[in-house]
Amino acid sequence: MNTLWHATWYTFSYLVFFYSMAIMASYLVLVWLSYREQKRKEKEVPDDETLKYMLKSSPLTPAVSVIAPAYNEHVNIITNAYSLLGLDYPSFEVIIVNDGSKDDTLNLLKREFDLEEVSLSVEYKVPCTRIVAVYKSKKERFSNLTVVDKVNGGRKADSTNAGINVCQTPYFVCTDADCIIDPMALYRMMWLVINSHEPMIGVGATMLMSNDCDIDWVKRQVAVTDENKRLDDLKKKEETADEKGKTPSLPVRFFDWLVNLPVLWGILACFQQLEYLRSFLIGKLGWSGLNALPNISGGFGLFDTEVAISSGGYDRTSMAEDMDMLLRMVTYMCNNDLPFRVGQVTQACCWTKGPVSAKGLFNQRSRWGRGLFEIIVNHWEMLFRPKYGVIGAVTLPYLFVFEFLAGFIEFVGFWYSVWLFFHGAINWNTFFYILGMIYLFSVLMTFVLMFFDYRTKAVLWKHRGRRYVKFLLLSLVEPFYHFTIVHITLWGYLNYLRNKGTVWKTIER
Amino acid sequence: MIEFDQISYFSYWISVQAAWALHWLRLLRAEYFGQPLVIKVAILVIIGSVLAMSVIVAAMLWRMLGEWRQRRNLESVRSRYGAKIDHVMSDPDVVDQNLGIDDILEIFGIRKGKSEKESLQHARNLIRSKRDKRLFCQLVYERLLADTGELCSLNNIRRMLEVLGLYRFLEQELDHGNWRTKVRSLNMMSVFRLKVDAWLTNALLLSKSQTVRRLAVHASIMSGGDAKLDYFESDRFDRLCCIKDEIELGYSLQRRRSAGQKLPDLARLALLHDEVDAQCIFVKLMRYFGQSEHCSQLVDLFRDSKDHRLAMEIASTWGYLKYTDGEELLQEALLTRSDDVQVSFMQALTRMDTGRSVDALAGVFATAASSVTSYEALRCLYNYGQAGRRKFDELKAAARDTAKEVLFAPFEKASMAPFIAMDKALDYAPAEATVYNVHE
Repeated sequence: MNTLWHATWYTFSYLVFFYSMAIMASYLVLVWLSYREQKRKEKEVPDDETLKYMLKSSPLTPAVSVIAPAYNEHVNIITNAYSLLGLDYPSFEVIIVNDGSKDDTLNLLKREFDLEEVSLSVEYKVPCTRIVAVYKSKKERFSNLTVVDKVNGGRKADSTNAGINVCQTPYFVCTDADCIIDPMALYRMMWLVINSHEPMIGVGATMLMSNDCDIDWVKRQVAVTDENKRLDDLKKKEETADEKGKTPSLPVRFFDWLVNLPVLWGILACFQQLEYLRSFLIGKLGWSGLNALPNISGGFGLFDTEVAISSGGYDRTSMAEDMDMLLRMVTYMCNNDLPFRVGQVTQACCWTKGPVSAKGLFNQRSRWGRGLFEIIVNHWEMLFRPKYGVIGAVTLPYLFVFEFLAGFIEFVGFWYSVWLFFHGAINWNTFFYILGMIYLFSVLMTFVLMFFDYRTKAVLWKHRGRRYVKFLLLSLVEPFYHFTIVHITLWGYLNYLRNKGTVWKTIER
Repeated sequence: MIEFDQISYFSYWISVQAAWALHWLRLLRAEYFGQPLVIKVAILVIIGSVLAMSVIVAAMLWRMLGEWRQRRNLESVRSRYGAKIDHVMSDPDVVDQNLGIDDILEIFGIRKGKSEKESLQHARNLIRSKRDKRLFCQLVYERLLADTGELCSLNNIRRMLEVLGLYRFLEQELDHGNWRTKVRSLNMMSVFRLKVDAWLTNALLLSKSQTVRRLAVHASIMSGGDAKLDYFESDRFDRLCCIKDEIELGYSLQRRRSAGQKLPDLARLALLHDEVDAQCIFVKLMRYFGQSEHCSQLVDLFRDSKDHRLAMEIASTWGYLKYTDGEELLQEALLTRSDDVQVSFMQALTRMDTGRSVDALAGVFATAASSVTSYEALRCLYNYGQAGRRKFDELKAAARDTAKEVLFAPFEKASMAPFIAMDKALDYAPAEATVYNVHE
């Protein structure tokens, strides 16, 4: 029995080792694909000024609707609306969907933009809760603003569907009301659309975190803000409805103090920044080169309206509605034997606010974990099916093996190592070699990321050198962050199995 | 004088160091091959990662150096010629004049020769290196885009480039450069409105780079003559066409029109192709450039086409160009099509405004399953002239106290007037004047 136990764990150890080798090899392949895609884009995409003036000079440039759901956004809604209206593109419409806000969001919009109700006939092409009214501005300069008031649907997906129902343009962009969008974003995304021989059904943008950044639109530079100002935000504690009025216990208070340490908060934001950059500049760009991009971020993504409607719009019950809709669009195109492409823009287009506390991060990542499980289950029939192109044949199996299963394998592997440690059964020679290998590979990926960022000017950092040094230092401690995320993701899987956590939580501002 | 002993000692020392290095390498190799598989792989990954990181750092430093040099060179050219370029391009005293060779020589401080030929020779020797010539053109290009052409005189810019020999330089870049150089040169020549010779564009049309081919197509359109539209008649266009072709072709045709040149028969081009995307592009452009005389060529295409997009484009074109002979065809097809196609056909019938489609529009209102289609039918009737308005009023009276009454509500609100009105004509008019569409 003992021998069988040892043999099992010995085999498992080797399996985990070769599994990690396979993950590393896949990262290297993605790096190569991403590099190839960057070279191709260099040939095809002109400089910003040429791009802007070519598209501005033609009445044939396709129009775009920017759909921004808003729920209880009275703090920032006017600023955000102005920032969306300030986008630079010849013909676009901004559709703000008020999702039954309980605060003054709608009244603020009405007052600021002099809105009046219009009796536009709305056809419910994709499901959403009842649209109460549609408003347009009486002022000429806001003629491209539409505000939709609807009954609360509980999800961003529902609001976006309402926006799609009102949308009159061939393409729409789905974003959050609090995202800061690069003025050139629509040009860069539409360039991919108009330059593609096959219909481009979706274009993803590079997203970054705005938490610790000042974005200077005049010089288009990104710099770190005064971090002391952010401490005030940190000190606002998130209270849930259950815990209001109760004093937290000592361990909870200590944990709160620990996770709200400025240096820790700064590190958390930077870790997420690193993850986002790695995901967009290496992962997504690489997959887009194979026309196998499985996900366009819900924070900012462009879609073909007709295809989105034909595939049913966003699923209001899904926790990963962005990925779910894209996969259904791909399924629709493949089932009807229609050619298509899904693209990814290199340069940063959108800054979004990430979770400002460990609790917020926990909620977000467990939701993502739940969403990934849901995607695998709901789109099981696409896995390993060449009928669905490279997405079905390669990308989804990759996600299943190297993202979904990775959580379980890493969890078991980690706690097995801890068990070996306490039983004095670790081969320290092997341990240090493997630890060195993991660290150096992680640092190598950060180097690659910096090179790609520098090469493509994906982000116009004001102090690029300092930012890169920070990334490098963080990559040395990233394995600890990564293991934390693995555990949170597994919690998300558990939530899916228990059918828990189906309500979106309010995001703290 | 180096003595023989010193040389032999030095070579002895080198050989000893080499022997030590070899010895250690052998030890490491023995050590490596003695390890289990896991450690061997780990060592390989470690060494590979370190090497890769070194290469990446070297590559980044090389790029930084290149960019620094590029910036420094650009600043150098800007400091030498920036003010003079500004003077030629947008000085209020010269912007309305046509500068001559002598004026350009004077501005740039070039010595005049005994003859014009000699003067031009001196001018061409002003900027000698290719790098500086490239940067000079880049400066002019960026300046022009930044100004959107409002204050710039394109004539003066062209004269300056010709006198300084930069026109010929751009042609040489087009002929001999790599894809990056060709794209840059083509963009510049397009913006400066410099003519690209036919022999050059023919060669560029065969370029491996898609971007070069596209820009060459645009350049060849501007050269004049239908023969230069061979690309649009080829099956290569079928395979490669996209929305960008529509945009580029649109603004190229506009520039031809503004230069007083004849436009190609777009209907003929539509008929030459089998691909729906290509056909849609030409049919759409017909309505922007008012080619009503060619509408009849689209009848067979409309009848035989199975693709709803093409049918919608043809209907829309007929509507804007008031091709009334197509009215019957549209009326026949009206009730057999899907909602979005019906809307397109109804709008076309409204724009034709013959007075004979009132009943067809009312028929759609009565039978449409979708409220949006019914609303559109009402909107078309409302815009159809007096006959349409009379029918509209009749339908409104008949719809009282029925479910369809709500569809008439928007027509009573003054605020809805902009959404109800329908444009009856179309022209190629860009949203904003830019350097790409400013007319001389």
